[in-house]
Amino acid sequence: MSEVPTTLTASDLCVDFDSRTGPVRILHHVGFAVARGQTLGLVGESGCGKSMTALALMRLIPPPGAITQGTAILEDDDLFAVSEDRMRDLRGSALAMIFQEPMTSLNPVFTIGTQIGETLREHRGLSRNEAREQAVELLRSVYVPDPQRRVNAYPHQLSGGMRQRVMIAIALACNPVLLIADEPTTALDATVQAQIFDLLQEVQEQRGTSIILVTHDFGAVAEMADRIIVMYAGHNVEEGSVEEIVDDPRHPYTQGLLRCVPTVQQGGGARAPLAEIPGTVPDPRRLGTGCSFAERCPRVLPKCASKPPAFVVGPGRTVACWLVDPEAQGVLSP
Amino acid sequence: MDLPSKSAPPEALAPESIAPVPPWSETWRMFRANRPAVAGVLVLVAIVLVGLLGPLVLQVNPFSMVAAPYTEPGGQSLFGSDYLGRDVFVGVIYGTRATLALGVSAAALTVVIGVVFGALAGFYGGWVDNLLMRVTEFFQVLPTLLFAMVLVTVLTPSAITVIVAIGIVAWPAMARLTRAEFMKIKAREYVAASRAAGATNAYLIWRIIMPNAAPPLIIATMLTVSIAILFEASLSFLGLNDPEVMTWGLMIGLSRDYFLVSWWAVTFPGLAIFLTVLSLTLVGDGLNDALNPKLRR
Repeated sequence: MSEVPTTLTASDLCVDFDSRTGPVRILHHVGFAVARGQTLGLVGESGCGKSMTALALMRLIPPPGAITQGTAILEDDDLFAVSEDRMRDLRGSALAMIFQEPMTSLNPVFTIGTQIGETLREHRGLSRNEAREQAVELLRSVYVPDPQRRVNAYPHQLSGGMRQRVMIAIALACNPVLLIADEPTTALDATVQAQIFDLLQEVQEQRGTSIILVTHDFGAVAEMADRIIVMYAGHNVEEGSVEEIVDDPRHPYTQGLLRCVPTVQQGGGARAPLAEIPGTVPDPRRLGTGCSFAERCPRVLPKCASKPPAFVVGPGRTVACWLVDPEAQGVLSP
Repeated sequence: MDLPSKSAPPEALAPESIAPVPPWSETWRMFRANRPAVAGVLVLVAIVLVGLLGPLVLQVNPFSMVAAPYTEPGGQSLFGSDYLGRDVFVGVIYGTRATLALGVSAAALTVVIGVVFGALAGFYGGWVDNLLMRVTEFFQVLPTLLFAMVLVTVLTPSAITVIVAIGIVAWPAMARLTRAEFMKIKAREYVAASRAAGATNAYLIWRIIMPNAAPPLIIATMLTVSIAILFEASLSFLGLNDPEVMTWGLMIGLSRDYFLVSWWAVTFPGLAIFLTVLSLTLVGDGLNDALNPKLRR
């Protein structure tokens, strides 16, 4: 970890939404780092704050939400402190984002060549012709077949997988150091999903791009990510390398999530019922002072009435759960 | 680079041929199938040509009294003459240019004010929306004809004041339509994607949202031209017009009192208005169907 330079260091990120009853905290002191050329997976259920974290890094939290605390150092800029003008320069050039729905993320009235070219013209000041040539090259690099002709196609003429390739081409146009992919394959079918992940990995190897992959799919992160952060109700509950999290989950929430990953049974034996975590993510307006997972946790303790700190259980490995409290070792270990 | 990679999709190896079809060709195909709309376009083109070329061919002052008063249609003056002996045919031909120019100018003013108000209100929302919509509602609740009459009277009747009066009473509808379109489209994911690629607000408004909001606004603009022509006729009928500019409305207004003695002096300019408004409406309808993605096959 230490030998690879860090691209982004976010710490103590808090996002609040104004409501009639006062501010509601959606993200609670989230922090993480992404190393150059590596992928960080943000995993969790719907509503756990992973997409909000991605939007916060872009500074695109929709009102009435706002970043109320924290820093995010991308190279030399603190993303949460720079001016709006500087932020606009950074978006699309230093950091780029791919959205979930390739079917609706492209503007239907312009050709894809125009849409790729616009980013280049805006950030690089290229002429119309130069931008077009670049667009063809970018389409070629994301393996869109026949790029010379596709550059003139409209979004509705492309399949979902092709559109997501175009989205990736737009995101890569200015060679960003950080690429945020918010559920990039959720809307695609499984074979196309694998192609898109292969493409992202290839891009990462060639360009040294750091990727933040937001997903609820543990299979996807296991394939793509180097490190994983598990989020729950706006908290960072467990962090570690992919192997550590997948092979040795320590937080009961992570353990529950991993049990929920469906597996294909060979030979058609008796199917085990799919596991689930009872309950849903709590309403952020009614979070108490204790552990936010306590009411769904199968191993809840009296101590869970107070919020667990992030215990460091190894190099770069933290777990926010009283079960790993070193002072309680022996008494509670399973 | 050309070698197949594991990242390449299978269809990369066998590129099927696609001919990029711009969305406009689809629209044109739909429009062409709508016969009334095509007829409307032909009539409109004819009217515009008459407006442009007619005065050059005729070379007569429409205000000059060339025939005996109350000359019946037919013979040397095709549409007859009015109570002062002015030729109605010449008036209708000269009136084409002024009426169209007036209608288009008033519609342009309506569109400019309405689209700017609606776009800003719909895009920014919040207090900007509140403020702009209260202003819009203020103008919307005024009785349109009465307010336009007051304006023209106060500002002394001239072509410019008539245009301004129509623009001021007609823009709120345009503003509300634009606002609704902007509110709908700004929630689309491609707007968020553009923002994430570093687009400024001005860019989002004019280059991303506007082209997508355009179809209903184009149709509304067409209809606004016909509304403006009718409005001008209403004002003229009440004597509120520029007496030095020959429009169809002016002709009707002047001959109003002599309708029973010389029906032709009001009927022919009236027919001209009817024909123009009808063809504008047919074209607007055709565009509406052709630009509506739900009706596409």
